Amino acid sequence: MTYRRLPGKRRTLSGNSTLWIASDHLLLVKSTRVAEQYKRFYFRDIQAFVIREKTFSFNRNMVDAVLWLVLVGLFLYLNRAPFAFAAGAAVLVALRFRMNVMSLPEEEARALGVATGPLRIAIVAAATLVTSASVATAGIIGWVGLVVPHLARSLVGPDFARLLPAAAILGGGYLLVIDTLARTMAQVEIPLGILTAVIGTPFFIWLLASVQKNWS
Amino acid sequence: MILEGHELTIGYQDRVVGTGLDVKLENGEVLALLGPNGGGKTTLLKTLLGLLSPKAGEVRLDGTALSSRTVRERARLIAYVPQTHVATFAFSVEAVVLMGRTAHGDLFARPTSKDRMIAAAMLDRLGIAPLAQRPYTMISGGERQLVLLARALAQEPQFIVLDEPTASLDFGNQGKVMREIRALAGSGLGVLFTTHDPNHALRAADRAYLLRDGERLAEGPVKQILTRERLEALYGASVQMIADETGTAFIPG
Repeated sequence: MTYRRLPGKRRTLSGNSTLWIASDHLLLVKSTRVAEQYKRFYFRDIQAFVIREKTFSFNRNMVDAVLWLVLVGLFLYLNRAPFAFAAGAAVLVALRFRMNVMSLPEEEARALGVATGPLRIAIVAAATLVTSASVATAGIIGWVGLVVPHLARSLVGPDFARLLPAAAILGGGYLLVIDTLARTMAQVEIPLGILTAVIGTPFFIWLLASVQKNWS
Repeated sequence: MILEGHELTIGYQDRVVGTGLDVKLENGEVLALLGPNGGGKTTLLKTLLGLLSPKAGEVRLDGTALSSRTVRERARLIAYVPQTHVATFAFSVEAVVLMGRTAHGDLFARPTSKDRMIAAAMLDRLGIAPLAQRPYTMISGGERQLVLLARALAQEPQFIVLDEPTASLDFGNQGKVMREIRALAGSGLGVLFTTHDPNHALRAADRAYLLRDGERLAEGPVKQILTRERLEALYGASVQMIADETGTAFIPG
């Protein structure tokens, strides 16, 4: 029996398949790294051949696209916190000038053309995403969110175009310093929360006192 | 353009403040809204601005309902100058005026060079250009009122609505704001403002609208409407009138 190889090859993760034609049957050879499988399709069992034109590349592209999507999905799933953080932060940064207007009284913001209701929901959702992604990565560390944004505001002013990056960089830097101290100050690692509380509490008391002065 | 309130019933969720109110404001005209405290002036303003929906009747802009326009479209047509307040955050004067450009950009927009030019031009027009980089929280009440006016002008609206623009100002600044209001109407804007001082209405407004307990007492050209008798009825207090060849003034008696 002579076999003639048909053109084309199907690649799968486990191996390649090729098709061979003989006088009365087709042979499907599936070769993996450790074994070869044969399947015979006899012409006498087949009622009719239907030949449909199909672009091979279309199928390949589909397969590639699905595979790519699965891989990206898997990657995002395994590294989801940074992406969630980036997505939330991107929304906040994009909305920075609207957020400035949102710091005005509600009616003024609306008179300036901001649909305050939907925008508030968007901002809260994006901020929640950023916060939860950070907590998912670093764990719960108190006294950062209470201290750093106020510090950033006193450094660069209330304009969110500068306040957002300033607060992000300052917050990251602050935790880097705290983390280094926690690892080096004693024989055993000091829990971060203790250090942030030692710095944060006096700062917050000072903040409350100074705000009270401003508001009265 | 014409901004009009048609048969308005105004008020809040559970409280009706005024009924059957018809208001009309055209481009190039100044309308003064006068009335005692709690008479519904601010409620009427907010309804005309679209910040508060009327409980009955309709606010119309050139015949079409104001409520059919988006918040952003409205802001490009009607600007609001609130009573001066102390802001919580220390934005620069320039940043505050730039906020007036919000409705001209999309959701993610940042101020363009055109926006900055317009903001600078408005600061210049009101003579407060030197304040541009000062924090809004560190300037005087009169300056703040002018900044809010500049912000409203930066909206490039057809109408400007001012809530007691002279309330917290010294004598000199009151005059300045009155002059500006006249100049705005001169440049084709329709201006509506509330005031507690009939003299300001006499000086700056074309027409006056007297509102007491949510009802219209009178409306018409200031010279005809603002008489001693009407003002006494409006405020429920005695009023003295002083008149000479240069003009008329009212003093609470």
